[in-house]
Amino acid sequence: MKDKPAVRSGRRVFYGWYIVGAMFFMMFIGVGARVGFGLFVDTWTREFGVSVAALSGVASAGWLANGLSQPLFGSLADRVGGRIVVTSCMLVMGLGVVAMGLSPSIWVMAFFYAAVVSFAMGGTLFAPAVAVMVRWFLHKRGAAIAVLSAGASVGGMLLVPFMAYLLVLTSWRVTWITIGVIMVLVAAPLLFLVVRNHPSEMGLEPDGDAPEVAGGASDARNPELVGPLAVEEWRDAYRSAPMWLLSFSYVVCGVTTATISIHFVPYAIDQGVTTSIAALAFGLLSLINMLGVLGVGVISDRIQRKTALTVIYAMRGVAFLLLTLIPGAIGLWVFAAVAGFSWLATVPTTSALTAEVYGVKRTGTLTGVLSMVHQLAGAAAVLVAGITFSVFGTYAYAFAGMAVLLMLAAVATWLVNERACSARFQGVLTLPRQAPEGA
Amino acid sequence: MPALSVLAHHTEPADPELLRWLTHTIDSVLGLGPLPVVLAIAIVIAAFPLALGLLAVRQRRRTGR
Repeated sequence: MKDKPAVRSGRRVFYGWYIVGAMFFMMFIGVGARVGFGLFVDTWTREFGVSVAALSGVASAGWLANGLSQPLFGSLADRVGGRIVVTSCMLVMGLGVVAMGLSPSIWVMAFFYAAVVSFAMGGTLFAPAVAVMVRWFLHKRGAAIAVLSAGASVGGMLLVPFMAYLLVLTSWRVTWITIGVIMVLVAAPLLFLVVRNHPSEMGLEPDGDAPEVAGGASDARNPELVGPLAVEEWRDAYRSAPMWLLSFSYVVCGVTTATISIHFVPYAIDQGVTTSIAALAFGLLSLINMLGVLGVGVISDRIQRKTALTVIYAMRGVAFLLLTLIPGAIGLWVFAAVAGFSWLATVPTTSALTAEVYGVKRTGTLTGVLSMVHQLAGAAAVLVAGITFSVFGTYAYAFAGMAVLLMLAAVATWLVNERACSARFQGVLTLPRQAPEGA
Repeated sequence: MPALSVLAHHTEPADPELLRWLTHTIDSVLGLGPLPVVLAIAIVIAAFPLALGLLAVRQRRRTGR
């Protein structure tokens, strides 16, 4: 991929990085609040007299609403621009969170959580965010998406203790209302103020590069790198092999991450390891995860993205194999260290590769579809792993099966002929008929 | 509580055990109570978007966009 000389005035930061920062905060507050949901279960069971199973049902309904809404909001971001989608969804989510804090009963709260907060949250996650990022960045796409993805990790590490301490100081209602107010009064205005759908709205080029259009033409609209498989409609992407290969590997990603998030501690207990050691090992995994996503994002901008993805899936496959082969606490620590690097790193790499193969026009929708299948497959895998444990009395078969699936995912991503179908290698600079659509 | 853990991509609900250990460690290392910790994190949460918004607006004004 040929790098173009960057045009910057003095030491000015490319404006796209401000958008990355705003979306980092969006992921921070949204994902952080969602991760914090688990903190309140004990309080709610006591105050409302409901069972943990009932709250799990609420969470499941929210999870389903969130998964299904992602393609919808991704599609909306493709059509009307990501700015209005992320801003309005953050606003609705914040109001929903405030309403949760004011709910007179658990069922009113469940309605707001599942039908309002979780649904709107789909508009503040990867699908609309990636739709904006791919329009602002060409050469540094992986790095930009990686930074905003890291916001999710930081949210878990910083916002959750914040909520926990606030819960100790005040009450669950005050805690949720505070988070909702931050969303409404800080996050939503920030997104509205900073995010722009396309660099052309500010007279800029992606990455801050110099204008360069085929034939030497120049236009207020930005030229776009279009590859041979670029699509007008998202369904058309599924007429070619790369989309199926990427979808398969992303399903495996969902299967393996969801299974570990649920069964890691039970597995540790089954191995005779204490819960606190297992929780700490999982904490290490989360920390390494943040470093991994940033590192892989930057590296994938310099090599073929499919190579990065192949290494990620193979590495995770080896981690599962080691978890199966090494008993006790050592196996958990080794798994956390090896798998941690691969945990979130699939997001920027898969999203950027999808945009480069199929063009930016339907990236939001395609990212949303990928996220949805990722979640649905993950939920199914959690059940299957649980059943496997019940039947065989061990997780070894489930984890060994996942190691095999991960190796297949590594092969699948390696089979993507990136040099032949990615705009990074085969792209032609063309002017969009309308840039951005609906903007 | 399996369902709570499948909420979305790569995110897990807060583990109470880990959180207890984390808050205990923060308390013992910093020697602070919950209020200073909440205030410190609140300042970070407020300062980041405020600084980002101001810098973005300043740049837009300077470039006239």
